Amino acid sequence: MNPIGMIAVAAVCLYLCRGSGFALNLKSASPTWEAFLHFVPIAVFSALMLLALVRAPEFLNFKLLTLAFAGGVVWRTRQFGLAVIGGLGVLWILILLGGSPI
Amino acid sequence: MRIDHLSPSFRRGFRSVIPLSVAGAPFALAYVIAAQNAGLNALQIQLMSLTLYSAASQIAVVQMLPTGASTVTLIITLVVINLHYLLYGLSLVKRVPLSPWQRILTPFLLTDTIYGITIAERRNENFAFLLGAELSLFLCWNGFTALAILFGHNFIDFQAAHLDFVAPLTFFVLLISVFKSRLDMMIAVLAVVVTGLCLSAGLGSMTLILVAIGVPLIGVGISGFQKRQAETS
Repeated sequence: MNPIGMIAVAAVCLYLCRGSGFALNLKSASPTWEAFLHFVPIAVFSALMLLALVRAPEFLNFKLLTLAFAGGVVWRTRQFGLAVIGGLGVLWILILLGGSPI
Repeated sequence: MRIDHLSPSFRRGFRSVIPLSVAGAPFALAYVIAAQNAGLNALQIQLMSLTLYSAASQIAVVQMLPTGASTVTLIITLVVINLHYLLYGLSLVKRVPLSPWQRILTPFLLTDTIYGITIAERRNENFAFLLGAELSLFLCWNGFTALAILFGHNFIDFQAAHLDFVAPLTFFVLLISVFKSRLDMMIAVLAVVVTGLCLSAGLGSMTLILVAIGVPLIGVGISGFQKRQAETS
């Protein structure tokens, strides 16, 4: 599929996902369904993170340290931008100070 | 509903997400880098921000582009990434009074941040606030995308700066932000292990779908077991 077609399909798909709850207008979802939906982003973000790490594995030890740092920042402050920018800064410092890529 | 009644809430909604929208800048940069690496031109990159308006989904789509993923794989991946919006919609309909056309308009610009800020305070639970917040974040996200397209390469050597790391960093930060219990952390570790096993088995683009459906099912099973244990003890 060409990129424009892929974007169009993705846009329609995303709108339907976002609008599904508004359209259903259920009084309440079952606890099992709510629990399933709660775990979906956790599983997806974990998988996407590992998939992205595997694609660019150089300096892996520094990247893992950086993830720990960024995780601590967002856990304490809830500041996403600070965690991402700060994390990137920490990686640069570690690479600058550290040895050869692993 | 009078406009003079709507305006203060709209303005408050618009202003309230501006500090949060700054966090979108590195996400927009990560998306633009990934999109440029996947071979998209500037128009296609901006079009995706205008129509999809979701960092995680946009990055996922551009990562799938070079792999030649099928339409079915694309749809299933997007559905599993965004399935939680179903819950947001169900929740918002209960909290915010919405007319039928507002129910059509609201979902287009709904994000995790918008949902979070709307339900954070009782006075935010109205359409004017919701629309103001949504438009503000939408304009910022598209502005950041345009800036990253126009100026990103002028200032930064992406390879030397290791900006490809922003993608896993973004997903990790999003992951930490959704943790609410120890079980959530266990499920994240399980998802990483299952992803690793799927990659080792050479499952390719099916990996995400398997993890996104299989791991939450295990999570449901464990949380149900924990509840039964708590009830019997």
